[in-house]
Amino acid sequence: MKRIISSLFALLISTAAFAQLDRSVRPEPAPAKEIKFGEYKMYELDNGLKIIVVENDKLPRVSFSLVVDRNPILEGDKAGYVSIAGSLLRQGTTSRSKDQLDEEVDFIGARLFTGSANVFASGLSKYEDEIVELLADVALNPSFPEDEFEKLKKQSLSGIESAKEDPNSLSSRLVNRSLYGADHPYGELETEASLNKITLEDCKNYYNSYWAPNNTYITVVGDISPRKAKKLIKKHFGNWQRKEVPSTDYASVPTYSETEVKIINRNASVQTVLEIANTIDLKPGHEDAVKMRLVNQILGGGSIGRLFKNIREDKGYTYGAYSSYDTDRLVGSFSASASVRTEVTDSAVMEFIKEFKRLQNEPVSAEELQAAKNYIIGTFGTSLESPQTIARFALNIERYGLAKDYYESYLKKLDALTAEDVMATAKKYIKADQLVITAVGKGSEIISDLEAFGPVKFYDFNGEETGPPSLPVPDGMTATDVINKYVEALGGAEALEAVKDLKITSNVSISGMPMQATSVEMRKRPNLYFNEMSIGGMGVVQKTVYDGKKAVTGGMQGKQELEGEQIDALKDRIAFFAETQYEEMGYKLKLVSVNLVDGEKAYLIELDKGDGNVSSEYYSVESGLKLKEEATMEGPQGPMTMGQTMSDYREVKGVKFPHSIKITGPQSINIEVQEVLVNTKIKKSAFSYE
Amino acid sequence: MMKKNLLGLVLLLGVGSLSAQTKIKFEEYDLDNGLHVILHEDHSTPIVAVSVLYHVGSKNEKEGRSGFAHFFEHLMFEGSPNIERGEYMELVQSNGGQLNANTSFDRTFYYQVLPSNQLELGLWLESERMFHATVDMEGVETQREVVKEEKRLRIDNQPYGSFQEKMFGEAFKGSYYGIPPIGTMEDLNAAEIADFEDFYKTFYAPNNATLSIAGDIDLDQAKEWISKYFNGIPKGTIEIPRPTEAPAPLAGEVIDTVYDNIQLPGVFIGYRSPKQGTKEAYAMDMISTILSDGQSSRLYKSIVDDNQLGLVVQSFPFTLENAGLFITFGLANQGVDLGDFIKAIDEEVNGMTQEMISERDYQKIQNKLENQFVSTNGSVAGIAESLANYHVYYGDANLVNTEIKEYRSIDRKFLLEVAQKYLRPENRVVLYYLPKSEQQ
Repeated sequence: MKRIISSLFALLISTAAFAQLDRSVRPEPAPAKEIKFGEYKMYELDNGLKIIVVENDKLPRVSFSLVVDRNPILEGDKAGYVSIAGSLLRQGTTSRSKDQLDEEVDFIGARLFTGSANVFASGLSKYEDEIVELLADVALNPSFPEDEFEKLKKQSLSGIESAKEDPNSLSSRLVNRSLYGADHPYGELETEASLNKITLEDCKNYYNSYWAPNNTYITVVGDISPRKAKKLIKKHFGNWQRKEVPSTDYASVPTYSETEVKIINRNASVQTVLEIANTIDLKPGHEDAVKMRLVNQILGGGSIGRLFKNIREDKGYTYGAYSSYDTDRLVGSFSASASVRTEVTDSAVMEFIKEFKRLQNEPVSAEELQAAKNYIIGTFGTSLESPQTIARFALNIERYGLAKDYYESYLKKLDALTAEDVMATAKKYIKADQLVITAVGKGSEIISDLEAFGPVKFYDFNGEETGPPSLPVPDGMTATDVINKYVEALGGAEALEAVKDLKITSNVSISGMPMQATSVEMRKRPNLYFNEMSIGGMGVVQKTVYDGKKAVTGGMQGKQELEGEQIDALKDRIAFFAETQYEEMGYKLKLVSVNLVDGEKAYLIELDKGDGNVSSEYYSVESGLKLKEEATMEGPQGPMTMGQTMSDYREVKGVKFPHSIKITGPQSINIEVQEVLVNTKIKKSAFSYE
Repeated sequence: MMKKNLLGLVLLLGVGSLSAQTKIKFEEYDLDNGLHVILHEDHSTPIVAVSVLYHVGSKNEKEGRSGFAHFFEHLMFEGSPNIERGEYMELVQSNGGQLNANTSFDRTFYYQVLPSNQLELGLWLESERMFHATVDMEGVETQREVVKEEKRLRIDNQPYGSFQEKMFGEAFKGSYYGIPPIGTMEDLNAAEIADFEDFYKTFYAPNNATLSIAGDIDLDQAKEWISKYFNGIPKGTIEIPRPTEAPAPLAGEVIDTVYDNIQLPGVFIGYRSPKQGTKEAYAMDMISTILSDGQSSRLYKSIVDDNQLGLVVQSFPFTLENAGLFITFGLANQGVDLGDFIKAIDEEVNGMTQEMISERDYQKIQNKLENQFVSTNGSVAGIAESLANYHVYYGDANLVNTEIKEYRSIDRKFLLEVAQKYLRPENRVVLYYLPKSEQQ
């Protein structure tokens, strides 16, 4: 019936309004309505407990939110206990087992959650007594049952396991660790080890030290009168005793002098989870907070933000690109993020930084400024639809000591901001040249592109630095294949066979030494060897010679003859194209993985002669050439790793030789090859020490 | 004991008084071109939700064009002859509004929440989209990349993310529900401009749409503007293809294993179940409440709490216009054998088919449903969407006030019968998720 009447009515109106419509005319807004802030009532009980009530009878429901206003806690090697303590509150009280709690909560259709510093209970307002009674019981009378504690620990351990493959969890762990450091509550990471160390006592101690009425607020929202709310809370919380709560000092957070790139490798990734961040010093209620809200809106607030328009709508790199900031009493943060497909990771970073700098250096247009303000005002208005927002505002005012009219005057302050304010605030809080760029993705494919932004380091799940990532070896590939490919790349077995003697002259620079040295190396088949290094003005500083029988090595302090094992070691080192003779020399070769050497994919082969020393060699997947050798030796101060990288391969008489060699270890040495001579018929007599 | 009795008493007093407080008043009518209009007036906050529901989802897609309805949703923000590319979202947001859209198997839903003095702007924008949205190659190419990123973000880059494709692929093999709305990369790449134009003409007609508005409006003014902007949009001339035949039932239990980049083994169990809006579907919803809503629920208590076999276990009744899928999902704890895990889940699920639930459990469901029911009407955006859904799917927008009666009309015996009818092994798909490292 109703439907018929209303459609008749509609027909009348529609004929009346039927005229040619100019669709290009955009509607003007009607006069704006005033945004009204809801009222709240505040009470304080004798024990210091504060109660905030926002009455709203639109729906027959009510919520109670208890918040313990304590400082963040550094948990040290037991990271995770504060959170477990919070969950444990819900696992049983002195008068109710967990099963009883669950049953009573569910039976009235209510919700009850506990956290490390909060309890939330909500339900239909007709059950308000029951709800407050349950809230008080878990907050004041927790029984900390041992078996439930063990369960929670087990669940946390499983949670850690599932976080290991979740790119967003990995990303937030990496960001927190990078921004705040391991010694700050915000930078601590829960690990298997830290969870395993937690005891039930840790949880009880935390609760007993920090939960007190004098630092607790309860906000009540919904269909309940303030007086009734206060009465109910007083009845159940009135006997809670005041106490001193511990105060804490905090470690300072890391500072960055240049932008750094931090990566967690995840081979399964098809996208890179990117986050670009820095810490900021901006406390809640600070006069810059409203300015930062505007800066963030223009840069990366929703789909109107520049990041979204550029990186998603213009470039199509991502489903969403946004920025955010956090005000905080200890240390806040600015951050921009997006999940982008692997291939465009570096392009996306470039666009992010470009947008940061544009905001810092170019004034925003009047329209864009107004649009951002309108958006903030609009979302502000919409958020007030929920009475929970009013309660949150009230809690912030009380908790952070804000002016009573902080939120009411917020929009006026916002309205007064100028394009200059935006630039100045962006400059102050976005550290465009000292950013932390974190990336969770396919490390091997993004590393070389990200090096342009700053030094790149890799991390694991626990926030520990690792080397560059390794990849699985393709099916069917063996160490012998790698060596054969290498021989081919050098010029082929025949070309190598044809090399009968060699003379290589190089310039050598050694870190920490001002002068440059010259090295001359000669070889002749089968295994004659001569190497002399000299420095202008000082003459020969080092020399090693093997004439096929005798090996002598020496320097400015004299010489000595090598014997036994020493000769064997030298012979291994000087063998003609040793790689082709590894088998005869007694090495066992193992193809381990595909790794990155300066961003280039390389096969890692381990060489083992059974003498306890294993050395590693890296051969380029693409070119087949050897890129790097590495060996760990016992040094005077314990084991040390020596490395040697080869590059700039050039062909001489059909064989490729590396023309640039870098040695890393206790001393780093750069060798630039000046000349390679092949088959110049070097006489045997040249291989003598004298 | 005393306390329990008291609770029971309170409950009795409570039932039936589900008050005038929550009653949602609305008006509805059709324009000549077939556009259905629903209006709900509420002046508590100076905002208004403007939404349009097009009755088209992935089930209306042609073969080889999976993901099309959703891709199209992205295109529908590209503008019109009067709105430049990229301006659509900006017009809303720079005037203090928020907007978004989503696409399911059965429908595509657009909404804006605006300061109430911008209602006319919202109507103009929606009418531009319905009348002559820009559908061109430039938009197609950009949004194609964006949609592919959305798929990577939500599915390909997420542990267990492939479950949708596998579960719906098996449960509705060969039917229009067999591919989730996001579609396949292959089909996304294949979409051509002619397909889009055709799709627009067919499905984005006023006679396939519902305009639902809730919030701080003046009814007469709203109607006047609606007629101003929407009356001139012609009725669609192409018959709207709308599959109604139910997908074929499973031929027997389907079991499959997926090796994924995960640490904890998991399981997804999907029972084919009744389509939405039927008495049986409401019953399945209640069964799901008993199984996994709250910490006293049977699955949670047994799997997570008492036996510590799993980290998470959750069942949810996924209902569609022509079918349903009752999905239970669980992640096993470290070191738990997946076989034992599934056995424990089955035990609880089978329990529902063996014995009637207790009187107390039945009351518990009713209390939970009442709380849920009250909460869904907490925002004007939620109300606008509910009104549109109820109208489109059931032809009765007033279910927003009365749906809870459907639940109350179901008794314990019926719950048992429904459980017995649907929670059978032959009627389900089981997906094992195992870490790649365990693949032989």
